[in-house]
Amino acid sequence: MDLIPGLPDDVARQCLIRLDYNQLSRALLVCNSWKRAIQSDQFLRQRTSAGLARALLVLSQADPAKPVGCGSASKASAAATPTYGLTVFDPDSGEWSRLPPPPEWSGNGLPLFCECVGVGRRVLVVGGWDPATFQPSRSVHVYDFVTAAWTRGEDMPGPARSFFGCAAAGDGRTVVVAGGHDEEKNALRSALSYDVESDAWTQLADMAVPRDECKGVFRDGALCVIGGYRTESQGRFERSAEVYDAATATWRLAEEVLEEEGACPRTCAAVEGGGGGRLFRCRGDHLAAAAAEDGGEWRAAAELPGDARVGSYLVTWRNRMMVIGSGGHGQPYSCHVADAGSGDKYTWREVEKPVEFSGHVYSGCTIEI
Amino acid sequence: MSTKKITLLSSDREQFIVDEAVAIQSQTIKNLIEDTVPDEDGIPLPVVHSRILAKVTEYLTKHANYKPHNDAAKEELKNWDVKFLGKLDNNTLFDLILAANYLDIKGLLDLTCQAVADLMKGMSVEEVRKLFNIENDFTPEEEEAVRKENQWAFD
Repeated sequence: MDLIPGLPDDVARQCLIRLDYNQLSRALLVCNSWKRAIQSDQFLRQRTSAGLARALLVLSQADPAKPVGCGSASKASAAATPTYGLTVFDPDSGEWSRLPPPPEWSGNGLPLFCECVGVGRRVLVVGGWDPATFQPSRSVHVYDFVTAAWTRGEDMPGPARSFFGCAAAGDGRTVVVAGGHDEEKNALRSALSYDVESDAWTQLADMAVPRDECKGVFRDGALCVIGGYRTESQGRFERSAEVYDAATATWRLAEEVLEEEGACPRTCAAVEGGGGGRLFRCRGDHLAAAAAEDGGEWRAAAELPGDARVGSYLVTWRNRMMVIGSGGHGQPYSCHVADAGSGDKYTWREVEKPVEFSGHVYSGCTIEI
Repeated sequence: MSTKKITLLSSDREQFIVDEAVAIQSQTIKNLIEDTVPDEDGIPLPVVHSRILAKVTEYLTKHANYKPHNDAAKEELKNWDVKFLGKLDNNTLFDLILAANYLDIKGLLDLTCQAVADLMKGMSVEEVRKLFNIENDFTPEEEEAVRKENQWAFD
């Protein structure tokens, strides 16, 4: 059957790739040939090569309507815990929206401290603590922006892991989980990879150093696990990082990646380009940058906006970055974007947003659709 | 500057006389000029009716004479495109897509394909099927399965 009666299929396909990303899930329901065309790999490739693919930011964000300190006083722990949901920001249109939560987490919100990872057109919600029990969860939930549907992935194998580093490997299908701590709060050096297409986990080689509260980033074409601390040195963050070499399936230890001992890597984010990429980190009142063109040395690259210096989180996409933070404890979170290319002066521009998107962001990523 | 005129001949043999620079934005017409001996009445375009060729030449004339070199000029051209599309009914839009495809005019094809995609904005699945005369070939079970999968669609 023709995709659109009266039009050659290649022309009809040119029409379909021009649909807005939020029309795609409805278009799947039109007929079998549309469903096949839209779900094919070729479809997103054509969208990308025609410059039509959008980058969307997905954030695990606290709902400010249920802020810290509110709720029933009888359950002290629950009262102090905000409810997290998934926020979607479209930087091209400036639109903010909320994704429906995975069915398993529709009651109390997303797991606390879960990681959001973007893999091609999908976002994964990995691990975290069940907000009702505070028990670490091994769960993986996958939201596909084409079908606009959640599926549950295979659980993370091995110890129930918390505060691990997690990042997409850049091949559009693999996510790596590394470090963190087990149920006895032992820092872990083990690492795993998850293949979204085949829904299967693989054990990777151990890292050289156990890394609790490490950060995963994809930098300069390789997966990189930055910082973290050992069991016996709680909170004393390492400066080193480990870089995964997919060809030899081994980790390479990179010393002195962070600028000082004790530097929390939580806000590290990377931008491609400039012959080795640039690594950014929120450091108090300023943004620190380590660029390949500066020999990897950290320098203060820009001031952070005054209303985004506390509890900051940094997300990068294409050649841009967004910082979300507040001006102080209990204040709303504001959001600023800047170009992140080489030679840029990193000038922040505040992003307007409805008040319901002014909560704390624990984790964030980008997807392409 | 060349002001050489080209005569285009529609399927119903109506003549359209345009500057060569206007005509050769169509890769197909450019090839026909280079490779064939013209009909004495003009270059025959046997699949494009005069009603559509009038639209094509209107588009090509605007775009040949308007090379935007700043944001304001780009904006003006974009507004012109929007107005141009706004005057078309759906049948004309489809015929224009077919003509843009046959004549190999990338800008016009992109513009009209986007217009078709935009037609679907805010439409229900049933309305989209009706718009394009598409038969629903899902079995009731399949349709139910897709709808179920789709229940988390966000807007």
